[in-house]
Amino acid sequence: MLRYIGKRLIQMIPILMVVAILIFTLMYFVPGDPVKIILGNDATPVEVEKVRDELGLNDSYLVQLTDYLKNLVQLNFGDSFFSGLPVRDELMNRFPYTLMLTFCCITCSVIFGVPIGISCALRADKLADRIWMFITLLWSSMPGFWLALLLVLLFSRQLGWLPSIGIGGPEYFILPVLSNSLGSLAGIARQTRASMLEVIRADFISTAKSKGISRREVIWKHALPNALIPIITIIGGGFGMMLGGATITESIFSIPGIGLYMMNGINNRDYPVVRGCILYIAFMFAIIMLITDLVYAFVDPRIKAKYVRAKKKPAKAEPERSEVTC
Amino acid sequence: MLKTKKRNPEKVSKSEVPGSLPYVWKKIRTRRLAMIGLIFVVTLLILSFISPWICTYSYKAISMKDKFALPSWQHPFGCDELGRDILSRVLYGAKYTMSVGVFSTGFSCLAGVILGSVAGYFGGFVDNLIMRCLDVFQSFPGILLAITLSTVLGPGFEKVIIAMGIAYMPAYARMMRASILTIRDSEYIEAATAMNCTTFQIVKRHIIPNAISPLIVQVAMGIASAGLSASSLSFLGFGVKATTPEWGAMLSSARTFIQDYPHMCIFPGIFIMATVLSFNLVGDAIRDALDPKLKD
Amino acid sequence: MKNETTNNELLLSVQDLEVDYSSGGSTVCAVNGVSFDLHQGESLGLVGETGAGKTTIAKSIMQILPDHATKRVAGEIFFKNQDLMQMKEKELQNIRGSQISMVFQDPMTALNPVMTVGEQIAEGIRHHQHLDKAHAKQAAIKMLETVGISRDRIDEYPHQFSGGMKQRVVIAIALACNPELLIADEPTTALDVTIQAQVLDLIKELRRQKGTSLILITHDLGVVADTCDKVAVVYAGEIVEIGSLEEVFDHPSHPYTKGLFGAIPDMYKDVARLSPIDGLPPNPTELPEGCYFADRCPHATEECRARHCQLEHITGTHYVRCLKTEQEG
Repeated sequence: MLRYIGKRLIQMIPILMVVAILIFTLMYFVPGDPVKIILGNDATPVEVEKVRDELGLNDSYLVQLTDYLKNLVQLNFGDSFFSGLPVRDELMNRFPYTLMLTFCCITCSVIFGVPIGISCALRADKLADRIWMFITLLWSSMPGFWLALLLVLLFSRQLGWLPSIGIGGPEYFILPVLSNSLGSLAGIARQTRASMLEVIRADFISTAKSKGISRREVIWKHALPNALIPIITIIGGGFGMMLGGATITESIFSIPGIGLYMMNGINNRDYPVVRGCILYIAFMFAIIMLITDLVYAFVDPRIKAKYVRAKKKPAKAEPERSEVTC
Repeated sequence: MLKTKKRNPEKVSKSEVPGSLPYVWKKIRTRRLAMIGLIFVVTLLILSFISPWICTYSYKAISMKDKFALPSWQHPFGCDELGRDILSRVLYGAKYTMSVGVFSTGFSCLAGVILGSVAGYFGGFVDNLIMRCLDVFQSFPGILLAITLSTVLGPGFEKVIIAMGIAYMPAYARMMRASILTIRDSEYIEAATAMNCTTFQIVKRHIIPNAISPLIVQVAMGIASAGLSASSLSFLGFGVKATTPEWGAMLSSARTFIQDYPHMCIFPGIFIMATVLSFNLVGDAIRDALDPKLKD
Repeated sequence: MKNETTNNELLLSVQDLEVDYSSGGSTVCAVNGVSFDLHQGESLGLVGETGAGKTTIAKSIMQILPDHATKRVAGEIFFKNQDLMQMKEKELQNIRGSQISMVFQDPMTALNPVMTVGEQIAEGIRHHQHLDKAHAKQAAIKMLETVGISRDRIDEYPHQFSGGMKQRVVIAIALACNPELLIADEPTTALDVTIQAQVLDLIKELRRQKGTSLILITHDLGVVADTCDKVAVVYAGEIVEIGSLEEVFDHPSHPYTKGLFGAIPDMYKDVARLSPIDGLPPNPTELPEGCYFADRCPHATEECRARHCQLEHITGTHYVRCLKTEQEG
């Protein structure tokens, strides 16, 4: 198992490298000049040229790329054009907020989504099920940023119960978490219902029932563990979605996480910041995917057997993960 | 003694063949919510195109005396910061949000199908190359890729479509490849090969029909989520040009005034939600009609 | 020899069982008025084509019909003079697995893939005999050895077993608590011929040791002849012929039963070709008014199509549902 993890971590490196090159290239072609933004509109061409030279923006594409990659190998993401601070330190400072937000969101979605899905599956096509399915569809159709605006309007502006921006105590996290998790909660609930319904029809559920064990045990011990694989997939995908969604949530609620950092970086054409953020998010994403695959193995002995077999025969180990559109 | 009785094969009407278009249509017609969704989308689209003729106010007519007007009989949804009628803007903007969803999904689907089929059919090196490229694309959240691509391409209706189309293409490619692989190894393809069918015939008669229904389902559900992502992009300022009455862009500018004039925020949001919900309802119905696993 | 057992106490009595499923808006009449008795120690073979409603009868006895699809269940199922249909879920749970248990058709899907076989066998034992984990595991190991699997495979998962081995595990689960009635739903259909014989021998051996009654569902008349004392032929959700093994096999009286015998090769007769039964069973969503078999019956008359007849007594315990015998009788 450890070897499998090691292998996956090594496989990550080339992908992250290509991501770095891709992002670098994309950023290279972004219209707009960061120096003009730094110096303002009334800077003289001479000043602009000077700063461009300092930032290395006048070098050719290849020179810039090699410099960038050289630094990257030493885990140096460069310095921000604006603040001059190292991007790496800034990422480290900001990451806890994003992680915290993402983690709270996903916990919240799982805690509510899975039970809703199960109870709907057990009452499939009854009125309660139909109502819940409609509600969850409504939730997943709601743009997160709009929900965030409405929540702010209601809870901070009208009722004054909760702070609307910034960070502080746990109360600052309630609105961001609520607005960012409702969509994935709905997705998890719907997936749970679908895969539970599929599993409930399986033969081994009849076997379990015919042993005379209680209904509750049939559901929790037999049906749910078998329904988990697609649910885990969607939770893993949800994590990724949250990392992406964090850009929006963080900019609405002014949470100083990676998402906000990246948005500012894009608006200011602060290339090192954008590159650093995307690479960092890609890394986190890869780690989450690895964890998802390990959880699969934990849940399903058949998948575990595949990984262990991969130890002896390292030809093909990677399971095809089903895709979630983020 | 041997009396063979030939059973008259009952005429099966087209709408009874599962997976066929008439069948799907028949199934959707029985779902009330899906029909409501479909009618909503179609009506909105028609209204959007004829809105310049039916609306009292033009979507771009600025009138400073109506600045921030609250909803009233004259302006049912009120007016925005430049005194433009929000109802007209919402109706006119419907075609943007919808067509970004539809076209970007179409783009993803087309590109994904081509890449996925090539990868799945040829296998080997080509497959490896395509899949590793997709790995790179999928190694960070789709919305971030869309944001980055939009930054590079700049604002604009067709650029959003391209950015989103590329960002969400890998999922289609993977799905197509997976179904091609499953179908390619199935026994009925072996049977067809044994009967001396040409490759072209196999692709046309067996592979495409069998791969298409998961694709349709994915597209049907994809339009809704693409619409949602598109409006997020515009909200962040990366989508269409700020002057376009796209719903996400409207929300983006309304956000500044949310404290005093919440009506500017509420109506475009409701329309985004209702449209995405409608697409979702129709998509759900199509999936149920095509997915044999969910049937009894 | 086999008739002695009939003197024993009545174990199971099914009266006028009817089950309807709902499927995509239409009603499927899966079981239409099935009645039969089973005495202690007896074994009954339920014979019929795929889709005739055999599995539904079995699941009704277990009371594990799928909630989502079952539309209507009617009739009475007496097990030791208690009506299972009227019983509360809690009481049923005490009977399931301990007094009645079931072996399912497809061993590939009948085992929970994410639980070790040991846990799956021990689960029922723990529940019914109130043992702790360690003792239940001991009992499970014993059970595993009874069905001929070595004890060191107890902690393995179903995917590590072959089809025949899985079916042994399923049988071990079913017999773990010494049930008085075992329902085996096509226990050998999904298996290789050689494995089939092993599994049947295993069931027979365990039955001999423990005196379990058996309902064997199959479409294989050979298996019935090998294993059962009584035979019920099921067609389109109803019993068309029932009787002791000798009565039905020596004097098949319903045209469908005759047809079934015509469709198996006989070593002692020199037939040029087997005669299959033409046509298909009636659509269970729209059953005909008259005899369900009329469309495929070589002797069918207008009267057959118009009137649905009852099971008629012929000799001994032999009953047939056919207008011809009704009139002759």
